[in-house]
Amino acid sequence: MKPETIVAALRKALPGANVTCQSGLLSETFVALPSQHLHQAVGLLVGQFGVRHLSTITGQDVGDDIELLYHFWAGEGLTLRAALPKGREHIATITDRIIGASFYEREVAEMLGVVFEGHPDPRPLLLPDDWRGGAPLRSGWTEPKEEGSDWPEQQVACEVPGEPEVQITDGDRMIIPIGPQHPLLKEPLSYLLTVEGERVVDNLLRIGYVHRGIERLCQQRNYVQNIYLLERICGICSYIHTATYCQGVEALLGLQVPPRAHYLRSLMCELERIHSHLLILGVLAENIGFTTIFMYAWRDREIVLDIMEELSGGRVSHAATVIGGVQFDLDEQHARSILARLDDFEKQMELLRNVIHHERSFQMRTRDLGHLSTEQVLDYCAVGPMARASGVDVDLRRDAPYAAYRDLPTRVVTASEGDVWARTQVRIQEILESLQLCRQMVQRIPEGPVTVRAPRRVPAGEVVSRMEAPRGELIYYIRSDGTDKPARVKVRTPTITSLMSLTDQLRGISIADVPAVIGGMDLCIACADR
Amino acid sequence: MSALLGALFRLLVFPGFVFLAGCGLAFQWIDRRVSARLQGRFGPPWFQPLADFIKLLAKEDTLPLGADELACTLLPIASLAAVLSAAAYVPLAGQKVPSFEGDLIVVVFLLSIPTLAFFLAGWFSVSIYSVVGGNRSLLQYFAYEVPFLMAVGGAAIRNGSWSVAEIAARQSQTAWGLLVQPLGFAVAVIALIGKLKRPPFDIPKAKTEISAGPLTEFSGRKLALWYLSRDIEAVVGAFLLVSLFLGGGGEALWSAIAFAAKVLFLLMALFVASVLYARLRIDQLVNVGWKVLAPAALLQLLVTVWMGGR
Repeated sequence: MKPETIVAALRKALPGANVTCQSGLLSETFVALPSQHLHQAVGLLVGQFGVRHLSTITGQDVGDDIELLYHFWAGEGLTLRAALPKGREHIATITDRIIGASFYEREVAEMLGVVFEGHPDPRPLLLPDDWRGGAPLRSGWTEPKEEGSDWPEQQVACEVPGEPEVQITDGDRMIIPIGPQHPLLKEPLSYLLTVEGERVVDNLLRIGYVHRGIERLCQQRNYVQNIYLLERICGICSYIHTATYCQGVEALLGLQVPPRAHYLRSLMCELERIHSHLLILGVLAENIGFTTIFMYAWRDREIVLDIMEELSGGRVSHAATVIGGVQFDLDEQHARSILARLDDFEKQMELLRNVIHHERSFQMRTRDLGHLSTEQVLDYCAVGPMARASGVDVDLRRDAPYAAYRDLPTRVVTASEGDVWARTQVRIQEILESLQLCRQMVQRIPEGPVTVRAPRRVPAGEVVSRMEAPRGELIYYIRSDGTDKPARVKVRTPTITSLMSLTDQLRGISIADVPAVIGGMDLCIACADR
Repeated sequence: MSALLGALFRLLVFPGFVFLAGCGLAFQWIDRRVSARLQGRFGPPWFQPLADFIKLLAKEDTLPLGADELACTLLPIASLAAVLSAAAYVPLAGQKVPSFEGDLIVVVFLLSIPTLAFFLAGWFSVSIYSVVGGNRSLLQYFAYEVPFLMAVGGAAIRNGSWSVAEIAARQSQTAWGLLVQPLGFAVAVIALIGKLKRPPFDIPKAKTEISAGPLTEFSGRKLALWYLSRDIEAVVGAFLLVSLFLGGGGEALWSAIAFAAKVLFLLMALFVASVLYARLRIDQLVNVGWKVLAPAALLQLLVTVWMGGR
């Protein structure tokens, strides 16, 4: 779908409205329109053009206005821009058109004090329920002091608005709290399951327990320091965060990254995908009480982690990407050693795949569970293996090739069942695909330097940078005001899209199946909370 | 006087409490070690179960507000006492035990007390996870207990006696139950896994679902006793099945070694099952219990009666 067609249709549908179009970096098109027409424009996008994937909503304070950016994906990036003058920060919700906008609107609402009229669930998303500190992403916001007038006395009284009163039993119903601390969870998140007997009839999700305010922190550090900060968003897919961020900053700078650096980056991304998928396979197995698969998966994952450690010096935090390239290189001998170990890994992986494929008790616990239809995936704007397991054929590595994927075709794995079993199969198959990609990259890596010099100051501009993280589309919005610090960095991680569909997946299942559903979702709460 | 001392020795040391506790700890170590090796790990050193036990004894013993202190103290003791009493009627390596006609029923009854104690523990310790775990343990009880009883009863009918020692002794004159009643043996072993709440039937204490189930709120000495009673129950269960289906210890000189080897063979089935499968859901287990195990046990029973009638 060409953005020009969409803009022409928008102009036609909104006579008298000032619709301006501007093509940005990394083939993103920015369309500015008056805020009162936004709801109608989104309706047109969804209804007429079938553009249903809202990547995220970025809110930013640009002086007199609060600006909202609705990042869509229409085969290429399409961003709708609406400005709300300060003092009148009201806009109609678009959740009636796109259910998946719900969490994004909640986040913008709490971070910038925008009111989304008609939002069905306007609770805070990341900030504490008793937060009285104002909108933290407004410019000029200061941290509330521990003592003094900024913190009203309610804080001591611990009166929690919005939180429903938790009653343990109510007739036949019981409320079982899972989290924030629970053996099932590796990271803090909380949901209250309302159960009748063993059946879950309702659930209430709360995240934000590991919100660290990274987007705000980014505005206080310079571009180079931010690489190391953003790497710490996630303890699993840390590398893809730095790669996506650097891709955006390099586009702002107009830097040409050497091809060798592209290959090395993509190699790290693929290794990371393998280790992330294996990790979640192990977690899923443990969640359904199959410790042996957990042990095997995590043992085989060590091979990949070792390779990553040799390349970058770190197993999880690599600090290996710089603006303009990478900070490591690969020599002939090392390349041979990596190829040999990838062969070993493939044998192990085949074994693991066969075990899972033929083990009936594994299937008994994962089939027909956590089912999401294609329609639901599109509604929630879900991404990555979650979407692919429901038959939605998306993968940015193929749809909008970046780095080394421009040279290397990626085969996209999909399944149609949309249950936990299908997700597991998609991930296992993706591991094997990634393995092939890794091999090709190591074999075909071009000669040359691995980095170019980058200036400290970044010219004013804005960019939307997207990459395919292990869990799906990762999107960064970066705006520069010409200094050495970014004016806004917005991160949308894939997990938050999955979280929106959690309520649907948990409804009506047995308590015993909850861990399987959670394991099959591949949640990374640290990513979601930032 | 010496008779009293002898009885006390039998009760407290061999084959009583100390011996069984030692067996329980050894069982736990072998279990952890074997499953570790099967999963590509190393497992703990031999003294680890003992160290864990002592550590738990020394730890603070707390209960949540509103929990029934008396019940929560008595339940692990009752559970332990029941499995120890059951052990008294199971002959070890051909040892003489105070047996009477019908003690098999008593043993099976005593061995089901830990499950009931488990359920009550869930009820009395006021945690929501405990309540769910307790309910599950009771549901599980109904799934495995009937097939277990039928399989055990099959052994009794075949050997024409309801005394454990007598059944063990008669097999050495004819043939092992395993050879004549393979189906009954298989059902008994699978039901035993359910009885012991071992993976893949560890549904009442599935940690990723309901924390530790009924034991969630237990700590310190009470938890240590629960663990000890769990391990001893496993050992006694194995002793019982060896007596019923594998000919017991026999009369030979090497009977102790033969008995130990048989017990290990049986336990190996438990270890392998625990690493080979994913945990079932409670409804799936009930299905297995009533649609597979119970009919299989019934079939074995019919075959036994028919063969005995000829």
